[in-house]
Amino acid sequence: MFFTQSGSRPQPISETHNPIFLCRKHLVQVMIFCMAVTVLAKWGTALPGWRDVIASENGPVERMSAAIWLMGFTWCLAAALAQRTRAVEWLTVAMVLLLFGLRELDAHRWSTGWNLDKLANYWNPQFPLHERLLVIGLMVLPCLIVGGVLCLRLRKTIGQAWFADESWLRHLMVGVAILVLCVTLDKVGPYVLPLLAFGDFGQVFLMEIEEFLELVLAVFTIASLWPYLQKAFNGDG
Amino acid sequence: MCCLKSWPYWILIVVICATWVLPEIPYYQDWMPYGYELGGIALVVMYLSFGCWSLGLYGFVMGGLSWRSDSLKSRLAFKVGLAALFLAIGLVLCYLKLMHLTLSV
Repeated sequence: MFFTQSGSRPQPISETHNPIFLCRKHLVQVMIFCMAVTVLAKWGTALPGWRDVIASENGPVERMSAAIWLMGFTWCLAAALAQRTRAVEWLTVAMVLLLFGLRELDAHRWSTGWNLDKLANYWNPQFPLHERLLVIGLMVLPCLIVGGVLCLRLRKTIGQAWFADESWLRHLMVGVAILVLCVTLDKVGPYVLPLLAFGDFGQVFLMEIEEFLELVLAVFTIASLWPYLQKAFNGDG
Repeated sequence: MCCLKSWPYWILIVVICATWVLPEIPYYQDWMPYGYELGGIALVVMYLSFGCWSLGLYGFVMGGLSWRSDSLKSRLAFKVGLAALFLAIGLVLCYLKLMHLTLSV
């Protein structure tokens, strides 16, 4: 039984309103949903193996992840229009989701022909100066501004949310943990696998897990935002 | 009817679009033309239209469900749904135009 302090008397709260329980429930639901759609994609497409479904570039799982991130972007934009009092928050979240979606579609590689992710490319004279300046002006600076605004807004509420044990903070922490796991698998995996002598199978397995976790992260983000999106579309607040 | 308010149904629409509809649409290639050829932008536009389709349908379904109980809520949902559906159609047309331009160069 979980209790919350309201005034001087402790009040029992149901398990369904407990943030830890809610977060765990959402994560389990998201995992089941992602597994179901992955199996459905394997069964419904003519692709021969799991590798083609999950780990291949532009395969069904990667397409699903990108589509869900960009779905989140459009829904958050609509929420910003529907709930004007929270427009700044919705717009900053929409921008973050758009960046994740574009990253999933490898826009950082094809938008200019050189990799925007690599810091060294920005002072590489091999690439045209006007392109590098355009990317800084149109992408890097707006992203920094959006990130700054989001951090400022979060800083104000994060302390209160921590002490009040609010559900959204738990969801945010789980989301960040999944993101860190994905990045670790992506960046560290290729260096660790040869040491463990797993070979090609290990590499593919790692890629499959990483792509699947990216799908889980996208769905988990929408599932976490869902109550707030519904509030916005119901005209509350 | 209450179950329609949960997220899996609306994400499923996008999943179906990305897995089965996308490979069937005109001009789609597994490897989009990159660089300045507008193909990548066209692909992003198409993905955005999937989000708009699901939002449009959500607006209409929620508007219909709350039609009798709350007309204000219902009107807002219909408005969001209608705007999203118009936007989705516009984005699909934009995709077709961009791909046409890309391939005609």
